[in-house]
Amino acid sequence: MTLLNNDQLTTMLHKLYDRTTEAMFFFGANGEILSMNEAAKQIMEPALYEKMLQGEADAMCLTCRGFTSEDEQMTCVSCFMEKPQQTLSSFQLYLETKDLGLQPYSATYQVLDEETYMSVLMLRNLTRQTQTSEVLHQKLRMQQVILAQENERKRISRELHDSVAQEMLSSLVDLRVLKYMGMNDKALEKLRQTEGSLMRLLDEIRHLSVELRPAVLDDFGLEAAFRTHIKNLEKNYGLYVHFESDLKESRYEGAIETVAYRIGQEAILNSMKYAQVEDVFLTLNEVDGQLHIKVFDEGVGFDVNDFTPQGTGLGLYGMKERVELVGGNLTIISSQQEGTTVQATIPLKKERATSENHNS
Amino acid sequence: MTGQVNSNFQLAIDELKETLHADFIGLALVDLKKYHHELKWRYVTGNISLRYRRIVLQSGKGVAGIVFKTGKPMKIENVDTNVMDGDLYNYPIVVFEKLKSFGAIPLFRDDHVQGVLLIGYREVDRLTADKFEQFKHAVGPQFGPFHMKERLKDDFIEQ
Repeated sequence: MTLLNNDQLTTMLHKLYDRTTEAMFFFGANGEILSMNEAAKQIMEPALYEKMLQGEADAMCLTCRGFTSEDEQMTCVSCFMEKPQQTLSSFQLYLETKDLGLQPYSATYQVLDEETYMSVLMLRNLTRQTQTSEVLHQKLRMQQVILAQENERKRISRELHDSVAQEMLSSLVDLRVLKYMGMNDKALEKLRQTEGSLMRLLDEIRHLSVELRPAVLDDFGLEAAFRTHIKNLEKNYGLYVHFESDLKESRYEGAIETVAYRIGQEAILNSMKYAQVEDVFLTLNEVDGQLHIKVFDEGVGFDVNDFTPQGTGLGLYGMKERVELVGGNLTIISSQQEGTTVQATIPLKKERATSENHNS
Repeated sequence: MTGQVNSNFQLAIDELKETLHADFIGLALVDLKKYHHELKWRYVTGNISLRYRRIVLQSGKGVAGIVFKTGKPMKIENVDTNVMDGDLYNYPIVVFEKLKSFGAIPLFRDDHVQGVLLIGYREVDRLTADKFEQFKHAVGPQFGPFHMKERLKDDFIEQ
């Protein structure tokens, strides 16, 4: 490193000040602005810029919307300018900017002179990074939510199926025994009614359990689970699902089975809700180490690229998230006249999915 | 004997449809013989679809299920503006019979709900409160082997 004389250093610093993309603000003891560089001017509303240059105390507050602390996204609590000693060397700051509105910046604040309290604030635009990390964060969180939900459903479903329904069944058996223990017709009639309501209640509990998460899925696999689900749909909604399955194996990895089942379930539900049809088609097959699950109807479709969801709009999003959870992908083809097709492709071998991702 | 009762039920709902100018009347019953617990739409009139036949009603689900479970009448004057629009698919009979205005009452036998009688119109706001009262009146206190239950005090408190 060559030593520079003072003049050269001054020139270089000056150049840096003028040309850098980092916005810089110099403050006096009362927070009045001593100087702002070109980059700072660029992000400021012109009127505001003029106002800030007038040397008012705490001029930064005109544009600053607070920094990100552990408690809040934007806060003024223990402002960095008031307590520079407590502030981290680098933090996230929100500014009201020209044209773009509220924007996040990575900020550094430093006191340059303890006696005159001269200080500098340097800002670097963070929008892109923030967006990227937010999307990533959201995705991770969504996947965690899906996982947690699935586990909790499994737990409650098991409890209902194994414990509550079992207990109910033994009461029913007891009740039936009671019928043969000699009682008058009136009591017998009453007993028959009780038996009827108990049986309905048992049905209801079983249905609840299956609705939460079918034990068939864990015990017998995808095909059996779909068959049960389809039977229930017909019973409950009068909907016919034409099911074709050409799976090479009866069982797959738990996570894959869950995702495939939920996708099918959700897609069929969507068809039922919005397509105004009585018939839905479901096919399952395995091609080249990938599980294909396809749900289609010939009813009222929608424009995939531009539609206002009639429901929450979370269903489609959730399906996509679920498929991505196991490294697969989801295709939705739909048109107003020709109905809707939802197809999910799930790789059956995990390694392959990751190596594919690396190559692409 | 069953044949007699059957034709009587069909006759009775046909008649109800006529007098009240309804578009659809459905009678859901638990099977009194075999499956004591299965609730199904057994008699309908004015239907435009046969889908009702496939459905086994669940206590607490759908129009009949809710009326069956609560033992209280249910009335929706306008299906389009009512809150249930988001999950209309949970009311299959309303969807595939294209009902826009409907009401349903429970039918009791020995103080137990054993059936549900539904009246529906395919235009909104046809089943007004007055019309619903008229419907209940036309059904009368005794419908086949079933009876209407007098309102308990509890019902008033809940509403």
